[in-house]
Amino acid sequence: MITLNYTNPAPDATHLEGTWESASASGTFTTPIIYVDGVQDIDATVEKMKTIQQQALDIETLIDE
Amino acid sequence: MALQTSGAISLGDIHVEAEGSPYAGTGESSLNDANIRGLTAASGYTINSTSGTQISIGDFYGASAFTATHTLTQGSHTYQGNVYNGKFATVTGSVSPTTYSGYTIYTLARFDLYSGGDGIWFYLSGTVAVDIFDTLEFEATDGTIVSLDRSDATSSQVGTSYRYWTWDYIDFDTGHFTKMQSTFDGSGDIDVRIS
Repeated sequence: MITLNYTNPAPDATHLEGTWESASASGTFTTPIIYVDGVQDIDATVEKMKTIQQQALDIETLIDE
Repeated sequence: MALQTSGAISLGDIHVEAEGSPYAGTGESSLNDANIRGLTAASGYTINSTSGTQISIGDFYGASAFTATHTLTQGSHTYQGNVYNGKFATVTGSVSPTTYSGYTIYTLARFDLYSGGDGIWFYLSGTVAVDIFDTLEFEATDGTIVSLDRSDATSSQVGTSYRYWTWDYIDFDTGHFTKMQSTFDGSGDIDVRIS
């Protein structure tokens, strides 16, 4: 689960910050905000963060192997 | 700082880049000096490291003295069909020295997880400030310096265990993503500078 540190980032923000939580771990994150035609695409940014965090969890599986 | 990429360039300019300081005393240099031949060529240029081989002043446009802070000895590992090249925790590969700024380098590797999931991952153990470094650079197999800005990375602090930074294809300069792929091939050493 992804939770942002705010309802909306500042209009000129470069990064999105928040927390994530899975069944086995939790953490904080910061990720560059995706801009499309000069407009923040927060949904796409959150989706990208979810993908990266899933990759990190996949890697963690290997670490625990 | 790299040499200029156009305009006049002198042997003195090249000397300063290689030595890090201007001529001192009766100092002199030649295009056959090892440290000059050892400069890292800019993309599109070649500096033959062998003394006595043909070279021109123009070959040094954009060249830089790349000083590695770490050497990554690659290992390779496959898990559920996914390929991992580099130093991966304690499973495979190694890095020397083993720490950066007092934190153990847990992982420095390329993970080719699945379509669209290929990229570089850098982990430091413990609770680590997100801005503990500015740039992660490595020397590609063709001598190109591939530079990754920390501000382009996605980073997460996972509990108190470690922090990771990761970059995917969109975070690389044009043409550098493929250089990363060919360099992180699971064998050989890679010179790395973390700064």
